[in-house]
Amino acid sequence: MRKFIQQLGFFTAVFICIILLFELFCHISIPKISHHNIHAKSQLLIPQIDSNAVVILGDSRLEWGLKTQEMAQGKEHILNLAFPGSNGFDIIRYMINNEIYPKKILLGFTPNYWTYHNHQMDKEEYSTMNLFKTTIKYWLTQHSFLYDKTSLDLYFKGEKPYFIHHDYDEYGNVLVKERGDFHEREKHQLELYADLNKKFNRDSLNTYLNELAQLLDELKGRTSVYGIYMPVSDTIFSLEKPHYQPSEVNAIFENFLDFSSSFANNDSTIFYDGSHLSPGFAREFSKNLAAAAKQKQGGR
Amino acid sequence: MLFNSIEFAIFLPIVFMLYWFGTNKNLKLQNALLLFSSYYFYACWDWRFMFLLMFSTLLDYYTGLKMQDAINHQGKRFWFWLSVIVNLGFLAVFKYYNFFAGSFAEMVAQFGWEVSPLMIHVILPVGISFYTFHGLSYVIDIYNDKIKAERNFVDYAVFVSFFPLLVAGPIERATHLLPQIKRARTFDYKKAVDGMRQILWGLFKKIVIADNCAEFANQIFNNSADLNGATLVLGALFFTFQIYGDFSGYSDIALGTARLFGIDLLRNFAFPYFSRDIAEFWRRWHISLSSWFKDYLYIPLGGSKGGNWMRIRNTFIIFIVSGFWHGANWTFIAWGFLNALFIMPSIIMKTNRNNLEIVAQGRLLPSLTEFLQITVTFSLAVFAWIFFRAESMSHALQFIQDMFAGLFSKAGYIEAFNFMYWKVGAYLPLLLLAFLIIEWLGREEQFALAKIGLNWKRPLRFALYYSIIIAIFWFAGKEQQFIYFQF
Repeated sequence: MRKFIQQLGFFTAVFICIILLFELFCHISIPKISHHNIHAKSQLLIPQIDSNAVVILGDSRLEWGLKTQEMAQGKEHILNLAFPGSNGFDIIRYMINNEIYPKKILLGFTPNYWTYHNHQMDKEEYSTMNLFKTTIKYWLTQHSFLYDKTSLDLYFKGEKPYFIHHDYDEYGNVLVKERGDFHEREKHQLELYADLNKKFNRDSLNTYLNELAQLLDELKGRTSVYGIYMPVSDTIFSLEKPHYQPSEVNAIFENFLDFSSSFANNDSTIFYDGSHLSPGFAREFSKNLAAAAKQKQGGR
Repeated sequence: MLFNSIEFAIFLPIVFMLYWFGTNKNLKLQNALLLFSSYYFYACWDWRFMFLLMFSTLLDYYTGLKMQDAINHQGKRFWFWLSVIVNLGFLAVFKYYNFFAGSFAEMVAQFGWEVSPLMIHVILPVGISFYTFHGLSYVIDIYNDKIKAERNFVDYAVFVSFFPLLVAGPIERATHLLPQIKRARTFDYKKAVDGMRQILWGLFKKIVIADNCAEFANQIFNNSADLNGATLVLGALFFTFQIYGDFSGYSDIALGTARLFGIDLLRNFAFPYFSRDIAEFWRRWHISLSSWFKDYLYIPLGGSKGGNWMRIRNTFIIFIVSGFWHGANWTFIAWGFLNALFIMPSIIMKTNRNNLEIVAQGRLLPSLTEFLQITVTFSLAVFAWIFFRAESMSHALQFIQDMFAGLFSKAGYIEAFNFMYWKVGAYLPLLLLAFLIIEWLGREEQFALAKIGLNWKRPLRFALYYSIIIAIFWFAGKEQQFIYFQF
């Protein structure tokens, strides 16, 4: 028995040393890409939703562009639960199913939201064990070349990574660093939205709007919901505008804050890539948004 | 708790340490610990079904004792049938009721009558087919006076619910496992190291081979209507490796884990894809189930004693029942029927026991004839797996029709090439090749990695194991669940 444990211990120790040496070598010579881990973030934040919370839901525009620290007023507990490619429906369903109603929900909107797949956060089990597992996995994704081989793959293919760092803090605020400059990144966004435009389907948008109206109806009287159309550059907005009818969105949201064309220029101090706000401007915008939402309170 | 989960990686060392260090090698304490751990392991799936497992265990334990103590044959028969009916009743309710009710409704609808049968909305208790068969083999053996009833409840409960075999087998026999549970166990270094190697190989099969193949098999089977001949063949091939990697990987982990506790479980796989005919394939695939059906169904039905017709009838019966055991769907029945058809020529010509030894024993390569035989048998198995994987009979038949229709079209091959080039890439074919080479080299042993590298110098041997561990992390597929848990 002792021999078995000794041998196993020796085997494991040598293995750990080899792995550490490999990781060290990679960290010295190859840039590490850190990926977003939506499950680790949801495991961390969703159990924190309570009646005093303000919850931000929607896609990456809100995830990048809203900074909870700048928005907090008094004892509000603001959680940024927006995710890339999310319309927030799954988290709203989770709240309704579990009868957890936050004080406010800030819910993103664009005419492209019908194309988003929700991440089925309502189907996940939120437990200490899952938080532990996803946190470990997230840590490994961020730090281990062996666990997350994308960095090595891109390095050996000679490609520069698009995202070099994609992290979030304890409130879900995202910290992102990308390669390239504003125009290079904007080009990518324009391609993305031009492609969505080609696939535009009015019936699907109507289905999305109907589902949105139903969900908001279920939240009525329990939570104040603010719809938000985040600012985008004029080039991006020109792609979305043909499908956007403010009147139908205003009819669904009790409070709708439309910033779609508020900063319609391609200023790289405002936008990171035409679709997402730059970190500096996001802080300023978050303060303005909080003030605008307060002003809207008691509105329609 | 999956074998390939963090929970199990924590659970196993704790139970192992408590078992060898915390019980002072006291057999009663060891067995009590195994029982407690096994119930905990099962409760991690769904604690509510643990009561079903406990009830089934208590029933068989009690009826076993009653049969043993019965003063006449009538009493013995009463307790025997009570156990069989209740055990099969559970299976019928949880696993087959909806199928029978649905099939009945469909059948009467053919005559213009509309029936809306009551359906049960309950999930299938994990492992029910396995532990029910454990219990059944126990009571049948007592009834046939092959064994005596076990009087120690803990020992009997460990036999039924020993955690490595609880949810997906191997299906054990009381004659094999109970004596091991009752015997004092001392730590055997060689057995434990062997067990660790088997666990490692099982994890590789499951996480690298099965889970990666699953991704592409799912893509092809789920979109089969839009795909062509050669791509559909690829889908069937991916599923063929998926199911082998998945189930034999699970069995390897189960056998290896049991060895850490000083217990040898029945072997479940013996390199079935290197079989030279279907009869050999079935002696090497899911061995514990095949031998269960042979002993408790085929032989009681008369086996091969009554001449050719009886052999044919009984072969069809056990294959169809075996297919049905896998799931309440016509596809499984068709899969069983098809295998019975495939095996039939060798049954009729009495050549079904021609290939008892492993192929090319003592040689590095097979002869050309052996190679051709393996290829034909493998192709038949691939074809039959289409029914096993398909969602419904219509899906399976459409899949096969499209597969053959597109087999001679150039577009189908271009589509298959593009699928391999753009979606699958080079990793998986190379891993499959490495996997097949290791399996081939280790085919004369209990499991592929049993002897490979044993005589190498330690650094080289460690390098082999490290490479496998790294491959497990590096090439891990997305799928997690084991296919046989649904049975």
